[in-house]
Amino acid sequence: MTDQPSRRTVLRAAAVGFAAAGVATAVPGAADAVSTDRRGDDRAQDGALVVYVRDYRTGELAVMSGEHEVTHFDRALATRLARLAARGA
Amino acid sequence: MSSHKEAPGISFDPAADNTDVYAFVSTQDSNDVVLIANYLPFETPAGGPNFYEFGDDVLYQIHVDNDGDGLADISFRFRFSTELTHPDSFLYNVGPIESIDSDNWNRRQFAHVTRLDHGSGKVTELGGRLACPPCNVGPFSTPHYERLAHEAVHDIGGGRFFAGQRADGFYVDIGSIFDLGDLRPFQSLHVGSMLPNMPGVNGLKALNVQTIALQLRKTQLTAGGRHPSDPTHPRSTIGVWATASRQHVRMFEPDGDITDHGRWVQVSRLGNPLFNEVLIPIARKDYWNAQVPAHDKQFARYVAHPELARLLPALYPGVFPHLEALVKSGKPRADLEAILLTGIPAGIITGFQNFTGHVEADMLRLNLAIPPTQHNPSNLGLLGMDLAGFPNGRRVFDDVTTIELRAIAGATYPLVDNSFTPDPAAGELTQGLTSSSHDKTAKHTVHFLSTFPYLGTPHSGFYNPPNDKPAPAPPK
Repeated sequence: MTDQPSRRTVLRAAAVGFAAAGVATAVPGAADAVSTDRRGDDRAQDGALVVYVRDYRTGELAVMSGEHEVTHFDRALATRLARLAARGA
Repeated sequence: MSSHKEAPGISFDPAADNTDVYAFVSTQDSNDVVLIANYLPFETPAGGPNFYEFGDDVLYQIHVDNDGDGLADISFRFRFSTELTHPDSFLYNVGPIESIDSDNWNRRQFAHVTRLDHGSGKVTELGGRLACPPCNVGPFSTPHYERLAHEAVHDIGGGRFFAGQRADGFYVDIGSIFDLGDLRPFQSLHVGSMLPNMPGVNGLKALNVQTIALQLRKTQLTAGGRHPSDPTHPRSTIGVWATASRQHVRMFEPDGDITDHGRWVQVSRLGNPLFNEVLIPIARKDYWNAQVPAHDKQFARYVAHPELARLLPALYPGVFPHLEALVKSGKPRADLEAILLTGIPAGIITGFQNFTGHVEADMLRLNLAIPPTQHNPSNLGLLGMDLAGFPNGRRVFDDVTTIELRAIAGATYPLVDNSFTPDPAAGELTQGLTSSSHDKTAKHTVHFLSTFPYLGTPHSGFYNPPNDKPAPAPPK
């Protein structure tokens, strides 16, 4: 079990169905990802995950799975999510 | 009130709202300490069809700091799960609940208790699927209620545990205090007074709360498991506070399902009664709820220069001239800082100290080496020269509102400046809810048990409005 969410984890979350800044959709991958684990455990679970874009300009994402939460920095992914959110506005 | 709906945000979330915290050495066994955390304010007893319960989605915790740094060394964690026996019925119970495992009880709740030792990271399971009692519905639904509640007292980890509905033991004239401090016994002296003095009114009379209570050996809480026998020893005092946390995100699904995700985020806390309610400005109350005691230095100025101390001379012209002069002097209220943020150092009150060090942290500080007062305790605690009472921990019957009102009015300032003479009114301030300093019933508007879990039998829904009869002792 890794301390950092891999890009694959984020993509799987997207495929299962997650909410990000009010948008639920599939998201392609992104580069330049750096993560900090808040709880020391990044267990991907079978159910839905939630991704919260704290600030798309810095790329800060909070990835939530059960009672676990990981802070993930990925500006490309966050920017793409922001574009998707703008479509629904 | 102590902490009932004390902040704007938490006032919309009763299941996670701390109302009171108590910590005291057991009068039954002076080797034991009792920790109680109450939640869910203003429970009207007739609360059907969906009676009150803990939140399955809330993490409840009682924290103990045993080295004075304002951080938890031990946390007792409580989670709850709810089960339906008859999901096709709209009723809370389909017949009399004669026992705690009765099939007639439809919606029941269970507690799961763990202990976390922060230093080692060790998590100890203290009990799982511990039955909570039902709410006190009425004589047909919950006959022999005291017996039901007694069945919900569980032995766990060398101690005892109870979680369920209790009568709210906090008493306060909420209607007068928040009507611009118009205390009824003195309202003829109030600047806006048009009425004569009159007796106080207990605004929480005949209401219930949800209680989590633990009774443990003192040695289970002290650093290194030492037995606290010397009141002057710096490690004889523990700091206690309680919190409630919710997960970071809540999702409302179109089918009515609600799911929670992410880390736990603290949304409520309580150490000393009335701290957030009376001292912290309204714009910072929700922020305060999310903080840990170790960071309370940021709030120290609200203790050193309390708004209420400025208001009393204005609201009661000519009644508090010495307090008015003290406020105008700009001197910080070192007495209040000691009582609420650091504990009272040795050498100020003969035979007493509950100083935990210089870290300013709002915690209920209990010197475990001071024995309980067995005979004729004073509801004024330390102000009544009863060393076992608030602010040395807090017993269920302590009149904490009167104690804090008097302290803020200047009654305790001579502890740090013996040249100060309090106004005579500071020692007379009262809500008018007790007949004397030895009244443990608030003029028969509250009732307590002499044994665990100490808070009284909850008021019955059927007998609502008020049922003031003292609760009978639980069966042996």
